Amino acid sequence: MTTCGDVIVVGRGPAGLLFSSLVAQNRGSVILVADAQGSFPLWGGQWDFCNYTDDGEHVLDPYQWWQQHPSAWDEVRDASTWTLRWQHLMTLWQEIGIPVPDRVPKLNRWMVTPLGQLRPTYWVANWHFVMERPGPLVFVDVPGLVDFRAEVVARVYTATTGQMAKTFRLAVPSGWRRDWHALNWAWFLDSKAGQDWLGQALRDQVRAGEEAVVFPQILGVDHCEEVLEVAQRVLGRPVAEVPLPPPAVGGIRIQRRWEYWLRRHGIQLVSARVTAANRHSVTLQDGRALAADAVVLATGGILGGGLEIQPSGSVRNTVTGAVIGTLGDQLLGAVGHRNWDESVPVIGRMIQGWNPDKRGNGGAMNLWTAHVAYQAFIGHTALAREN
Amino acid sequence: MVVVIGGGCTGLGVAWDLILRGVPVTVVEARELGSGTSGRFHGLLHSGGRYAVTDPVSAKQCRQENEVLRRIAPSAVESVGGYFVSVDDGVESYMRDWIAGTQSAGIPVTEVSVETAIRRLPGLNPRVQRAFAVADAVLKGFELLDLLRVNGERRGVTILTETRVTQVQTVNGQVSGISVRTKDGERRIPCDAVVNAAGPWAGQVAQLFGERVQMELSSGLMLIYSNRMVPSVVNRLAPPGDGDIVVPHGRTVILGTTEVPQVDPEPPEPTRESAEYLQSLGQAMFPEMNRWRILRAFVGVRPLFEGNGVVPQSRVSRDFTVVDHGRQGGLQGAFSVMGGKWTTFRLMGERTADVVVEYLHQSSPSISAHTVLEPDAPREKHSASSTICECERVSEAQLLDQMAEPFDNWRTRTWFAMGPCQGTMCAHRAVSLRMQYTDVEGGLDELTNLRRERERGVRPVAWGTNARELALTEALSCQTLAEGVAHDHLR
Amino acid sequence: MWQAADACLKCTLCVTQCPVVSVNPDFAGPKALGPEWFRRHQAGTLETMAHVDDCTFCQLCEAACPVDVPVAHLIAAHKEGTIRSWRHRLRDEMLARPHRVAVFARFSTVPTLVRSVGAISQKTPLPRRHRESVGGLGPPLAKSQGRVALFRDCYSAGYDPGLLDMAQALLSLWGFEVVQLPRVASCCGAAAYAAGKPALARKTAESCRRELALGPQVSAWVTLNATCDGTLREEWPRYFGLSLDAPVLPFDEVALSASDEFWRRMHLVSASNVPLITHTTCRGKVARGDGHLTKLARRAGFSRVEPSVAACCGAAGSYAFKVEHEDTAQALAKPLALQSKRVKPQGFMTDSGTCAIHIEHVTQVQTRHPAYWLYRQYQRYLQEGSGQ
Repeated sequence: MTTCGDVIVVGRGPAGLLFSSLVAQNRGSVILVADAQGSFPLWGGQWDFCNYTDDGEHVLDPYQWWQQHPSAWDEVRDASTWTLRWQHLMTLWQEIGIPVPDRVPKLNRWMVTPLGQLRPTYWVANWHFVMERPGPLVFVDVPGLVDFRAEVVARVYTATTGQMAKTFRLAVPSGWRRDWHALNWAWFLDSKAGQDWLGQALRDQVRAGEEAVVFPQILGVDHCEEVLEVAQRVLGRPVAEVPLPPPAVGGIRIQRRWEYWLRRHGIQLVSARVTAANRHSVTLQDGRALAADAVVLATGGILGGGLEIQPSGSVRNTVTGAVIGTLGDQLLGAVGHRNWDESVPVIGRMIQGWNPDKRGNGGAMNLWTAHVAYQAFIGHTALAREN
Repeated sequence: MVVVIGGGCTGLGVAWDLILRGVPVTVVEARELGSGTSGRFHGLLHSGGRYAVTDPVSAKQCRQENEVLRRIAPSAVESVGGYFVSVDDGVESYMRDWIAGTQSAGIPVTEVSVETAIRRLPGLNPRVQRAFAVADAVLKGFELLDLLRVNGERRGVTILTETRVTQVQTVNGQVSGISVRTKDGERRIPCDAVVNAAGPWAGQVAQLFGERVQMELSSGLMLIYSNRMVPSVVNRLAPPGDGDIVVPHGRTVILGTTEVPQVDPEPPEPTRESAEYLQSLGQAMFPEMNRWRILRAFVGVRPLFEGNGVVPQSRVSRDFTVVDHGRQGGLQGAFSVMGGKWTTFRLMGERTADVVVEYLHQSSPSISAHTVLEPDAPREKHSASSTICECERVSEAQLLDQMAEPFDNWRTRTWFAMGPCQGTMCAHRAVSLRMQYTDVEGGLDELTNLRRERERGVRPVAWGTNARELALTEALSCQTLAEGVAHDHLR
Repeated sequence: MWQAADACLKCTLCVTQCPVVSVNPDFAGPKALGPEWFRRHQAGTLETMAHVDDCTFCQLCEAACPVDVPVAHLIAAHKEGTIRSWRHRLRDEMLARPHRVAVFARFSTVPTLVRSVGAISQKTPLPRRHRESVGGLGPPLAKSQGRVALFRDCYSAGYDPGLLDMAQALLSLWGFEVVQLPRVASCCGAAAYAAGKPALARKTAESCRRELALGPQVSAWVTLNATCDGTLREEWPRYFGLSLDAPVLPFDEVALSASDEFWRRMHLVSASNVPLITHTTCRGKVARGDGHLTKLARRAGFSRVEPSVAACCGAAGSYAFKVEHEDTAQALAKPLALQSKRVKPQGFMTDSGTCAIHIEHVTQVQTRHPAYWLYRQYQRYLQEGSGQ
C-alpha cells in the first residue's frame, strides 16, 4: 500500500469527502478545512452518471454515452476506468456502512420524484427507490408532509407511466405535530418507540399484493436499516424511499456515516474559512496558515460558495481570488473553471464542462475529478520523494 | 351603464367613484387586476414632499390624498412615516426651495437632528447633513386593489378579468357598446360610455375610439431586498432623480427607481447593468446597501401622457389628464384618463367620473373621499394547518381559501413564493396542493411558469448570496424535482 | 449590529446539524427560531416562539450555515423576549453568572428543596470539586518558548483547580512561562449569552477583560474550556468589541506542537491497551473543528481511540441543570451511553468541565480534560518509564 504525505482538502461536500477518503485509505493524513457543512444534507444521496443528452432526452446507458461523447479528458471515454471508479465507491461505501449492492449497475435506473415524475439515476444506496422499468406501485402518504402528497404523486405517476398506483395514509404517533418535516419523522423512527409504532401502524395496512411500497424519505437516520426492515417485515414486500427536498434524510445519513468514518481514520476537521491558498498551504480567515504536501479545493460551485458572482456578472474563485469568467445565460450549476489543475487543483462543482442540473452528471463529476486529483497527488508526492 | 377598460388602480378608482354615484359600471381587464403598472410600483404613499419643488399641484394633491387614503383604506396603509435626508454637497439652494415648496403646499415637515435620523434609520449614511420627517406611508397595492374589488362588487360593479375589448360600437357617433373576447368566446356589452383607463396601454385602447393618443412611456426599475432593513421611507433630498427612494414594504424594502423612455407598454426585462447602477445610487443613502441581501428586480411602466393635439378636458396637473374625446370632435361617450400615480388614484377616479356623469346628464357629487373601503369579513382561522411557504408563513388553509383564483392571483393574494427563497422551498408544495384539485398536467405547467416568472426577477440580481439562492433553486428544480422533463414516451 | 442576518437561503443545513431537533420534537429548529423569526422581528412583529429556550447555544447551526447567518446569536436575541416565571428568572440570573456560583464550589451538595424551588434538575448531577494534588513535572524539555497566560475559567477555578495546575505543569514542561489569569473569579460571558442575556454577557465579558488587563504581557492565551475558547476568540471581537493583545489558543492545539522528546517519553509508557473515547464538545467543533483530540490521544500513545458519536452531550454549560431541559439533555447524551456500552472505554477525553460531569454521569466512565490525561501519562513516565 502506498503511503502518501499530508494533504489539505478545502470543502466538506461529496468531492472533498471522497478525495479525503482516497488519501485516508492509503494512510495519508488529511486536514479537511471547511467553513460550513457540505452539501450532502441538501440532496437525497444518489450519484448521477449521465441522465440527459444535449437535447434533454433520457440516457439509458451512461457508459455508452461517455464513450460516444469525447470531452476535455481523453480518459473519460473509457468504460473500464469508469467501472473501476464506481467499484471503488462501492467498496468504500460498504466499508463506511452505507448499504449498496455488491455489483455496479450496468444501466441507469428510474427513480420517482416528490411530484411523481420519473427521472433516471445511476448510483444509489439500498434505501433509495429505483426500478428498471415502471410497474405498479403503492405510495405512502405521511400526514403533514407537504413535500410529498402521495395522492398527487400517484396520479402523476400513472399519467406519466400508465401504471397503476395505489396509496395509503400513515396514522400519526402520539406526540406528532403538524409541522413535523421529514427529519422529525426520521429521528422519531430511529427510536425503539418509533419502530414499534411503525410496525403497528403498518400492520393495519397489510393487504395482498406484490407491488413495492414507496415511502417519502423519512425512515430513520442512523438506524434506517432497522426501520426499513420493520416495514418490509410487516408489509411482506419491498419497501424503499423517494428522496425529498432539504432536509434530505438520505444525504444526512451518508454525511453522518462518511464523516464519522473519516474521523475514525484520524482526519482533522478544521472549522475555518480559507482566504488564500497555493499548492502547499492555505491561509485561514483568522490569519493562521496550514501547510501540507498538497492542497485541493473542493469548495463547490456557486451554490457551495467556491465561486462567487459579482454584481457585474464576473465569476470569481472565492479562495484564490481568480476571476474565471463572466456569467452568461447558462444555468448557475454549469459555471466553473475550465481546468481542474488551476493554480490550486480544484475538484467537484468548481469545474466547468459538467452540468449536474441539465445533464445530470453530478455524481460522475465528483467521482472523476476526485480520482484525477488523487492520481496527480500520488504522482506528485512520488516525484517529490524521488527528488 | 359605463364600461371602464383597465383593472388597475385607475380603472377600479373610476368604477368605485361612479358606483358610489349610482352609475352602473363594468370593469373589463385583459389580464388580472393589477397585472400592469399598479402591481409594479414601490409602494409609496407620497406625503407630497417629492414634488414640492418640481410640481406644486401634484404635491398638494398628494398631501390631500395621503390623508384621504389613510381615512378610507386604513387596512391598506401602513403609517411608517418618512424622511428626506440630504447626503449630497451643493444642494443648499434646492433645499431652500424644497422647504418653501412644502410650506406652500401645506405639507407638514419636521426637521430632526442628524443623530436622531441616524438612530431611527440604522445604516444611514453618517455624512447626512440635514433630515426632515414627513408623513410618507406605505400603500399595500394588492390589498388596496382587493379592497376596491370587494367593495365595488358589493355595490354592484361587474368586474371581468381575462377579458379583452376588441371593438367599440357606436350609434350616431355615440358609444353604444363594446365587444369583448374571453376564453369562452366573443360577446357584446351594451353601454352608454366607455372610459379608457388602460395605463400604459391607453394609446392602444384609444385606437378603438378612432383616436390617436401619443403616450410618453418610461420604465422604472425597482430592487427588492429580503429584510426590512429600514423602518421608514427614506427619500434623498435632492432634485428628483434615479435611485432616490427606499420604501419598507412588508418584510422587505424596495429601492426605486429609474426613468428610461420606451415605446412598448409591456415592461422590459430588468438588466444586470441597470440593477447594479440603481444599487450604487442607493448606497449614497445607505452605504452598506450592497451588503443587504437582494431578492429581485422588477420594472414598472409609467403611463405618462404627451398630449400632441388632444386638448385635455381637465389638465389637473402635470400628473394626470382626463380627455373627453366627444368634446374634441371625436367619439361621443368615449373618455380617456392618462398618467397619474397610485397616491392620487382616487382623485383621478373622482375627476374622471365628474366628466362622465356630466356627459350622462347626472349631477350626483363624488363621495369616494368619505366612503370607507371595508375589508372582507376575516376568514375563519384554520389553526391546524401545515405551513407551505416558510418565508411568508403561508399555510395550507390560506392557499385552500384562494384555490379558485388563477395561479398568479393565488400568489399575490397569499404572498407565497414572495420571500427570501422566491419559491425554492415552496413552489412544488403549493403546486402539489393545487394538483389535488386540478388536472396534473396543468399543475406541472403552472410550476414551470412560476419558476420562470420568479427567475425573471431574480436572475438580473443574481450576485453574492442571491446567486447562491438561485443556484439552489435550479438544482432543486432540475435534480430533486426533475421539473420540465417530458415523460410521454415512457407510457 | 448583525452581519448577514438577512442572508438565509432556507437551505435547512442548520436544521440537519441541530442536536436538539433530533431529540426534542417541540423544538422548532434553528431556521425557524433564528433567521425566520428575525425577519419578522425586523418587520416589527413582536412575538416569541415557544421552546426557543430549548436551544443549547451550541452554535452547530451557525457553523453549518453556508452564508454566515449568525443563527445561534439570533436565537439568543429571540430568547430575550421569553416570559419566564420568577423562579426561572431568579435561577437564570444566578446561572448566567457561573463565576459567582463557582465560589460556592466547596459545598458539594445542594439540598433537594433548594433544587426544587430553584427549578434545578434533580436528574442532572451538579458539579463536584475535584481534589487532586498536583506537582511539577521536572525541568523543561525545550528552551524558553516565552510567556503564555493560562485562562483561568470559572469552572476550572471553582471545581477543578488541579486541572489548571496540571495544564500549567505541562506548559512549563514544554518550555513556557505560565501565568494563570484572571486572578479573581470572572466569566467570559458565554453563560449569559447562552441564556439569552446578551447585555449581561457583554457586561460580564468587559469586566473579565479588565481583570485580564491586570496581568503581564503574554504571547498567547491558552484555554482549557472550548466554550471560553470560542467566546474569547470569536465572540469578544465580533459581538462585544473586545480584543486581546495575543492569540487565543486551545490547550490541545498547543499540546500538539510539543517537542518530539515529549512524545517519545509518552510512548515509553504506551497506553495502547487503554480504550479511550474522545469527545470534542460542540463549541469546540464550532470554534476549532474536530479530530484534534483524537490526534492528541493517539500521539500520546493511546492507540485504541475512538471519536464520540454525539454532536453535543447535552450539558451545554448550565443547560442540563435547568429542570425544563433535563430530558433533552439526557436524550442528547444517550448515543454516548450506547457507544460507551459498546466500546467499554477506560475513559473519555473532553475539552469542557461541565460536559465531563454530564458524560461521566450517563456513561459511568471517568471523563476528563486532555491536560489530565497527558499529565497522568507523563507522571507514569516519570514513575515507571524514565529509567528506560
